[in-house]
Amino acid sequence: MADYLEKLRFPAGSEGPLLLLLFCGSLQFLQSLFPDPFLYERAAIAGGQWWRLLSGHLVHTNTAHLLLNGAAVIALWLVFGRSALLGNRHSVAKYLALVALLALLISGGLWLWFPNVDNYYGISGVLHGLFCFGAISELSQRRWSGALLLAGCAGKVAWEWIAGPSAATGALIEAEVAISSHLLGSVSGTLFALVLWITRSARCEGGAIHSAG
Amino acid sequence: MNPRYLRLILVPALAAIMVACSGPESPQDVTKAFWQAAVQGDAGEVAEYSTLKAPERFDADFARWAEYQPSWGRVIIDSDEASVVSRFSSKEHPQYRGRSFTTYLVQRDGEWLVDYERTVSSARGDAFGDLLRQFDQLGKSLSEQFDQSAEQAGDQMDLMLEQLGQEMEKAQGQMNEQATEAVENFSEELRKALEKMDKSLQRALEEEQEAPAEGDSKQFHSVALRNPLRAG
Repeated sequence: MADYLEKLRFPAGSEGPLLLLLFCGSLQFLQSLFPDPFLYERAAIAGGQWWRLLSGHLVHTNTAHLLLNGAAVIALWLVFGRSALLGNRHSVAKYLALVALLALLISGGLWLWFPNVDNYYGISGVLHGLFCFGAISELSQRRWSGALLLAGCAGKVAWEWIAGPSAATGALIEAEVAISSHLLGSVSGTLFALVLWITRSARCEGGAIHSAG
Repeated sequence: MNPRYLRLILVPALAAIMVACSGPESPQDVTKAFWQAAVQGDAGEVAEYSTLKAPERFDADFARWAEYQPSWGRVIIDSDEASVVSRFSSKEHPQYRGRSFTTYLVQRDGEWLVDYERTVSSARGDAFGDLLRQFDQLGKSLSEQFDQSAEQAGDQMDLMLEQLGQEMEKAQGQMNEQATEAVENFSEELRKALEKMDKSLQRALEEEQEAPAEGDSKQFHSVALRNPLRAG
């Protein structure tokens, strides 16, 4: 598969987002048969169904919602590709681990700070996190477009909180857009990327540094 | 010959041979060798000093950078990864700001190699530029594959059409009579089916008018939820 993706000139490690889409598609199919066990549902999580903290981000309210977010997964991968902050090795596993970590951080944030959100579906919170992570990664490579992208994301999230969630998107996905997850995703992605950036910089400064030129 | 004189000749000669035979070793040396080969358009050398597997995939556009002066900045070695701050500035006007980017390297079997994909991505510009180029390359690649497939499919279709024509000529005589009968039968069946469907539709419309309105879209979510759905 890697060879075929390489032949199509997809960035290396494209199996990560493709596997993520496969997970989402599979869970969506299962959800059409068993609607209850996957979504983030506060009462069920309180009853010990911890897997919902993760699985809630992988299921969607309808096919349009899944396709919309699936397209965004691919678009984000094509824009940012393999992140410099995650390094070269095990890029597929690291991408999926980043998605899982962001999902758990968002779920934790919803649990702690947004008790009124009693149910939640979809990966868009994670997508906001991946966007901010990618933007910081760009900055870590001295690409200043990262700052522009980060500012754009902050503006978008701020606008959602000022003007309220988009009614048109809500109608399409047959649910109210959970802007709290967008905020949590953006903050989680930004903070995690900054932590990685600082850690890597500190490790490089403290380790073998050779100056030249 | 006095062994002392012999040593005086042999030691520098051996040293010269060793220097001549050994390739670039440090990340900075590999970076220099890689970019020298790249601006000269030497795909083979580029593949030798980098992770590029196939020399034919080397982007020959870098040959245009030959008119710029390369310079190298800070080298960071982190385990088996390294990066070299690289800059290409104008030879005629070195005071103007040139293009600055990072050359990434990875160590494989004790040998430093330029990470071709990451380095080229860094050298070419920012994320938007990368995206547009990737779309362009993806389009070209798909177009090539489509052309190949279309050519093969075209040949196969020509062959099939020829065979079909021959078969049809043979069967034409027999088919004429059978076709007339079949058309008559089919017309009758179709008329009955349409009548049946008409009745069925009328019945369904009547039932829908009587039944309470419900969403007809497929519900993926739990019907047990009482509160509005939230999604992102």
